[in-house]
Amino acid sequence: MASAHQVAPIAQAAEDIDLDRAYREHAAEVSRWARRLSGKADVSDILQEVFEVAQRRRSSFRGDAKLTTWLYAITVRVVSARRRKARLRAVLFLKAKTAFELEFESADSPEKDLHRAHATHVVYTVLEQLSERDRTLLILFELERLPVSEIATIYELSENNVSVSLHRARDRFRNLLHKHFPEEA
Amino acid sequence: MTKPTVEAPRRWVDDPNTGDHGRLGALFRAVQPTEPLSAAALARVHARIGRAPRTSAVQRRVREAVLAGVMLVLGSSLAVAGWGVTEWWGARRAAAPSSAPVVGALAVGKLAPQARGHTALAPSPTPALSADLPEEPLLEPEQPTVPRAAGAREADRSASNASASELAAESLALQNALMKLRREHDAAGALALLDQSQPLFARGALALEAQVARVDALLLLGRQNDALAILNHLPLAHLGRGGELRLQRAELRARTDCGLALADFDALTRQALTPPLAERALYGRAGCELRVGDDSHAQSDLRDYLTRFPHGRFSAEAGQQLARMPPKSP
Repeated sequence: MASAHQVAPIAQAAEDIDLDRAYREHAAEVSRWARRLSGKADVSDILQEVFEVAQRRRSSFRGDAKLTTWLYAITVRVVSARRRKARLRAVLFLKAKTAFELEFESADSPEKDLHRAHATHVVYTVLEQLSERDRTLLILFELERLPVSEIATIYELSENNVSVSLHRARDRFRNLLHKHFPEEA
Repeated sequence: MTKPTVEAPRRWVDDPNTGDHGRLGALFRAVQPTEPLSAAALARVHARIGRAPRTSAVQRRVREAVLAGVMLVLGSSLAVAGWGVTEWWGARRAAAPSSAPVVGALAVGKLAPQARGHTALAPSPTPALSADLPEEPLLEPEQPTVPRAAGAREADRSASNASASELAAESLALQNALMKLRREHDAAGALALLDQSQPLFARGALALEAQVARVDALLLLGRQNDALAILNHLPLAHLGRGGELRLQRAELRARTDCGLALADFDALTRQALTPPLAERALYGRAGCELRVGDDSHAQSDLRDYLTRFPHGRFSAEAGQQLARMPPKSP
């Protein structure tokens, strides 16, 4: 996967974008994606980095792809790069791998809270054991419900390729779920 | 030949059936939705874009570690190279003793004017290279300032190399102890290794991590008082496993001092913990409340526990305790 600073052009033709306006319109959504992809850590920092990368690379944005798809692509790469660095830090400083934690938004009732917390714990525990790419693909497809065509644009792959990758990622997810949470499988 | 088209999978979350996919769909559908940052936080980030550097403490530590590693390699290379130059210079001096003093003085003057008195990299032109001469100071007593500066630089370099190699040694010692503890499950062995390295790295960069490893080993050995004594002095907020360690401390404190333990349990129940930790914290608090005679809060916590963790580790005990208590007055 390309690094955060090598976001490739998504489409052809060139019209500069108004990043201030883009920030006003999409920053909240980008921060939500960042939280979904990275947990509660560093959401502000990720948001800042996404828009700084966008600022540097705005000439590479071409008008016939959706701006949100372009921002999604940057967010995915920024988060992946940060997670790689975090893994390196964990190795360097002998830190135990910390569990992925999502910020908890309370639901209507304690039972619902518990059910959600448990489902989140199970899903993210298994996702954390997948490769970075499988993990992101499943989050984009199952949790963010992005269409395959948009995921293909984000990863600069063909839709066929994304479909194959998704089938494989889902198989791996299912196997790991059977292994670690047999009662859920 | 064209590749066959692979059909996109149907999302699990859109599968209403009760089969394998349906169960996975239900699981994914139940995952907590994520919320965006607040408007205030968004405005703060907007103001920061393109201005403030995002260097965090952790990033600085990584950079320092990388720098230390580079310095270690560089220092070793310089030491080896310096030794090689000295050897080469010695051989050359031995081959041409009459011209050596002049060439040596020129070379030293050209390459390192401030290090003329430096014995390792630039040997003195005096016949000190003869192996059978007694060891004596190569510097003239009337040239004290320049050699002292060079010596200080050498000392600084040695100190940086030493600190880098100290970090590597400390890291290795801790790694060995953790392997003993986690892979071999040999708590006594791990403790012995930690005891060995403790005097060497008492103020090292990984001293806190070593203390946490010591707590784990002591708990495995059943030495709970010793573990608690360490936990009482650890800055838990700065540790990766802070929540878990604080819970551990609360449970250990609860054996003798429920007042102190309750402060920890209260703080923990306000945090977002993983379900196993949240369960222990809530049940632990109820137990402490019972012991200090706060039946009303204990009853409320036990009920809360049974609601949130109906099949939890302590659900049977919680049910029994609740049954023994008089019904709460309205």
